[in-house]
Amino acid sequence: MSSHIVLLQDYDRHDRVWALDLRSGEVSPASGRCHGFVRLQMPQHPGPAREDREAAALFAEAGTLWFQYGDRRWDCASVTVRHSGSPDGTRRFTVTGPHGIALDLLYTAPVPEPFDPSYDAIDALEDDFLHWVAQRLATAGRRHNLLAHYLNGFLPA
Amino acid sequence: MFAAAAAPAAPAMRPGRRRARLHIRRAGFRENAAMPGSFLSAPAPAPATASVPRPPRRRLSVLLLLTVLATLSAALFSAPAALAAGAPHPLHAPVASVAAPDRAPAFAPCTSTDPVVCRIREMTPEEREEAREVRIQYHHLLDRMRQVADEMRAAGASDEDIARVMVDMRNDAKDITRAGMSPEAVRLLEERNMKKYGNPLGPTADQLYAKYGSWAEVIDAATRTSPEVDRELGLEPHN
Repeated sequence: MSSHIVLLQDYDRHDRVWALDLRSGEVSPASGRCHGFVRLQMPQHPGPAREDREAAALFAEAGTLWFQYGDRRWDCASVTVRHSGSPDGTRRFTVTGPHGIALDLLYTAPVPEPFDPSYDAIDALEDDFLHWVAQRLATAGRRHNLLAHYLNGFLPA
Repeated sequence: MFAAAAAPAAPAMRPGRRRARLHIRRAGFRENAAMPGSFLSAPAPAPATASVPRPPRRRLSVLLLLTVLATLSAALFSAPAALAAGAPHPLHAPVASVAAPDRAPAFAPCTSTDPVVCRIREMTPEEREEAREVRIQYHHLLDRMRQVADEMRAAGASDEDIARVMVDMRNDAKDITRAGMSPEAVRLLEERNMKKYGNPLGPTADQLYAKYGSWAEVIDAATRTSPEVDRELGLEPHN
């Protein structure tokens, strides 16, 4: 990695930009052109699983698309990311590398309130950052698009 | 980077948002469900006021009190005999036996992996039917969006132009369908969206492009529904 700081837009707040320290996984307020998204912490939903407590980010840096969780990060081209749900309301997010599962998160599915009768695919992904990450990394074409887009950077909208 | 392209002609479904909310009532949605392409309707006429004379308030209170006393005394006097026969005391009957049958018991675990589906399963049949009607209306709006996208594509519009119109139409569809929700529910949704997007209706085209990195992906996302919600409301998935 060429630097230790990358600017990211907050996934859940349109008006916030954070500087992510790639070594520690800590964030601090910033401003400027962003190179991906960060979700600061999972909202606390009542439910059986609450293992997901670290900042998570998807971004491009030094020609590579990265997924970072806490102080760990993975080159998205060399890992497989999976997302699934269970009938008990928990969701599982896994990152699998050449040596097996590198990250295994269980968390309680967000329950959007109130019920929106026009709930659609965008809503489902907007409610769950890890679900969105898994969907964006599902195909080589999407990864390629995101890499080019995030390397170029974007201003917070 | 997000320079706006020349906006194409506004699609047919761009009503005044706030006016739509003020004028559409639930009864209006039922009318509209049978008339795709027409998204606004006049408010339902108010029911005629009843002119039947009411009994004086004091007499009504006495009647109610007598009814309650009669019920209580009957229960107390019949209790010893019932208990002797092994029946539970009528005043200590299990709550579950008198629970309203039209709502799923709170202890029944939801077997769906989708929390929105579980939320629907908690609804009363009336709430569910209302949600279904609004969902049908939403499907009509989605059909219109896809039709506009096809027309724009045939006319040579770029993906960015189409995506911007699709996102505007999606937000308009959200606004129209919210007219069938309670003011409190709408307030909560709008507060959440203001915090997240700075826009009460949902993400803007530029915000979606920032996340998806491709205008074609934004078009696809904006016109995709949730098949789980469709199925749970008894509708064919509208994808």
